[in-house]
Amino acid sequence: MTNNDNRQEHNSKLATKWLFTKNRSCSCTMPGIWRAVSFCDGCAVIFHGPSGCAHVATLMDLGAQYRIIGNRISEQVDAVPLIASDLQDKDCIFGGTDRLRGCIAYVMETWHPKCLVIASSCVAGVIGDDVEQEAEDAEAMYRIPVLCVPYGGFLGGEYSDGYFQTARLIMDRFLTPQPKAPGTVLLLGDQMGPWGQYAREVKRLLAGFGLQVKWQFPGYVPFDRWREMTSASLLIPLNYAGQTQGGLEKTAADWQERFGTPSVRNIYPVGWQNTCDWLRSIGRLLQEEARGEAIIRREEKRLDDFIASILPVTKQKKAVLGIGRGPRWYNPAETLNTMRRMQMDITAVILFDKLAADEKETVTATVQTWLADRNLQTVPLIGNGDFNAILQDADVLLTTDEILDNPVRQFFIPMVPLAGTDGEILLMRTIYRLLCRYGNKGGIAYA
Amino acid sequence: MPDPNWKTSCHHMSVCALTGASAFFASISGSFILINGPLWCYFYAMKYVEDYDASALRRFHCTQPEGNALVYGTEKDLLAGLDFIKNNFTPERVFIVNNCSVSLVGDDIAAIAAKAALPCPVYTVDSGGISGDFPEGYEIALLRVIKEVKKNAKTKTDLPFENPNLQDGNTVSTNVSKPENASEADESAANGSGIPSARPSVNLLGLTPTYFRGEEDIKEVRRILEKAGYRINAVPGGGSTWDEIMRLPNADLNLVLRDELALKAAKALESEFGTPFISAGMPYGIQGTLRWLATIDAALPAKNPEAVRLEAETVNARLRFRSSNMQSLWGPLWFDNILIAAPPSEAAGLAEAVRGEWADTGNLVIHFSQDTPLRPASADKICIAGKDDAAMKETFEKWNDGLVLGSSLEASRLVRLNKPFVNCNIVLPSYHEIIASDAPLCGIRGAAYLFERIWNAKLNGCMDEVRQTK
Repeated sequence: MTNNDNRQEHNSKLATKWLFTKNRSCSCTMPGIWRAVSFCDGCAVIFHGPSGCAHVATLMDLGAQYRIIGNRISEQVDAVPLIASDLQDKDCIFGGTDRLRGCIAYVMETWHPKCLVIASSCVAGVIGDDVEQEAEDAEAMYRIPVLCVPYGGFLGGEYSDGYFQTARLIMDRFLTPQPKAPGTVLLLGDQMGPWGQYAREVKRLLAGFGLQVKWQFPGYVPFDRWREMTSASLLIPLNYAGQTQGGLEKTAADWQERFGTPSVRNIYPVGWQNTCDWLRSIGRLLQEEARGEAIIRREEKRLDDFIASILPVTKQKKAVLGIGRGPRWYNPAETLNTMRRMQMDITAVILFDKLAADEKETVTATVQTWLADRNLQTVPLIGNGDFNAILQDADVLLTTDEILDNPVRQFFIPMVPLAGTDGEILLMRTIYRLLCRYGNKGGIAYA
Repeated sequence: MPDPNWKTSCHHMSVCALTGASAFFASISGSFILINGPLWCYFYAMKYVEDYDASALRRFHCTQPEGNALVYGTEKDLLAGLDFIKNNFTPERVFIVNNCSVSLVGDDIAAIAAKAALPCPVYTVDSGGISGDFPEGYEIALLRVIKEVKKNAKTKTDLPFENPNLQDGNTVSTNVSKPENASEADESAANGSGIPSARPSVNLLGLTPTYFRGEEDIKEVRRILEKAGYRINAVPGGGSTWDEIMRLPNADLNLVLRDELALKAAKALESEFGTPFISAGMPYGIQGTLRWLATIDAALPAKNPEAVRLEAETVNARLRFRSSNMQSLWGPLWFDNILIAAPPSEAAGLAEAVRGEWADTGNLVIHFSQDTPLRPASADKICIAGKDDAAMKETFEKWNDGLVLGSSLEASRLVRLNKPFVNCNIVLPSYHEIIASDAPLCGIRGAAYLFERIWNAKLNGCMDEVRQTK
């Protein structure tokens, strides 16, 4: 049977909104390269590729900006120029290096950058343009540093590969060890920048130790101040909890080794328990354990006060967790902990078809361990797609993927992790507000 | 050195040809689109279309080739993608759209598609970013479908043509005779009345629901033309079915609403089927809409243009009355600067309407997102993306205050530069304005709607300023 959008109905299986799987290249190196310097005043970025590639990066940046404005926060700095060399059909026959050379000249004349970053597209990769040579020539001609990441768009890896390679180039080229300025912190990673929830919360929590965040790298330090960054006395990677964002871990380790800045790694303030562990780690590192415990007590009280205010609505509500995001990006234990904290009745955990077999296996093991540890083995774990009945009975579905054509109230588990106590409160408040919802308004609630 | 057409993306926004082609194909019901390219490119194209057509989500798929495929070919990935569609859906047709890097590989896509043995036709195009932006992709798709129209026409010995009976005019292309009365017979057969209708018929070229309020604009253009007594034969890319598109040659006249999307197609249709065309542009403002209709009427006389004129007069009287009332309280609708940033058809038409009919300013600047010969007299300064980026940069840097008619990109620039402005979105992306009502931007209904929004922008600006000074 088909309906008007030509979809076949499969018995009682429900369709998630997105269909793709994540077992192949999902992204492109170029936006990562752009993002690594996008707010570094003094830089300019050239995408040696079709103009559409630059439009995609700009669209991403625009989305991030409006998400921040949605939180009633205004960014304080402008993004640096992003220019496409605008490769066209004819360049694919004769090569695009002339076009790149012309574009570099145009950028130098129009934008007067102090540092130029060049990223190559998959088109430049296929036609074999020697982008590195052009970068070298430009550096000699214009006497400014020209960083080149010739990864060939999606051919060279993922977004994160472009992002971290650019960070490495900056570290190699511009940074050297120097004496540390006491009490100063360098944040490593993006998470929507200094105006995003993660960085703001980390700053707030670190202020409890008397620490001041002075820089966020890569992406948010003006070119003229890059050399200052190694004077930070502490490096805080903005990573995900319980997951592997290898590039960030590796960059943090590399930074510590090369510039002697101690860092807190392997534990990140995402989820309440992790936030406590993270605060304790910092306390230990600073030899201020008592101060760390005091901060934890203060934060715990904030959390408990908030939970007490929402419990009349959340307690014993039937809640289902839907998982379609692999373990590289998501740890279900965090969400399960939040559901438990809100004293919800977890009626099922469902696994969506889009999970690859190995991902499904890992996620299943994580969920089963979590349930067993809390003596909740009776909670069904449904992986065959037949979860219609359980959703009909649920008050809310906390999900990584929107379910189409289903009246259940849905909460979208954020892709960008929410950090610290504020993050936990933000999550719970959104779920609480969803449970307060009167009538069927459709859609999915975002934190 | 190549032409200096570098694209500074923070000054103007578009999406690549992959999206333009996909948007066109997605508008034809029952069509599936298989993007032969990386997930990243697919996702942006799909999301762009899906924002305005929820059904597109299920009809949009991706081969997601690995890097090696660009050396060894995409056959394996393409067959897997086609198999997925075959096994899960019942498409009426599939369009395979190669992204830019895959188009360089040289795969024989049609031959690979034949191997997949789908129970429906499969059509292929190269339409990646190296072909250009959205307009070029849309154009590629439209021309690709016109190829099928030609094939279809050749297989039908009884293809109906009619005598368009056009007047001579310099806006009209060639006037080629066709067999008489065919479209009337076609319409009478279609309506089952058996009584021939004398309504002149037109195709609308260059419309798309994926533009800002695109679907609403299509309805308004149709409404006005039908009210004037025209029969709409087909709107390829704007909601017509495959069968309707195959009947493109039946129209008396092709109206090109956006040159950047459909001028080449109109020329192709003229050359192949002898259908004349005019480049009409989009109708903006009350007077603008009447001028637009008069141009069409001159090329192909309308049955009842008076009905539209009467409606326009009524609405115009209401707008003038409201404007007068508001001016007595708030002063004239004055902006120190007006920036209009949009594709040529939108920007040129809106510049004339805004400055000619509603608002006053000392400085009206247009940022055309594509090159165009249009030079509206209402503009003090005209910049073309890719050619005048330095001047566009200057527009933002020297901006002091005023009205911005553009997208969320222009608003974003001015927010980051901490410049005061009020704005109404007229193009995508639109992140800071929801599109929920059925109001168009063009035509008579659009004129009233835009007039209201511009006034409200001014009033909200005044209120915000007062609140901030407290």
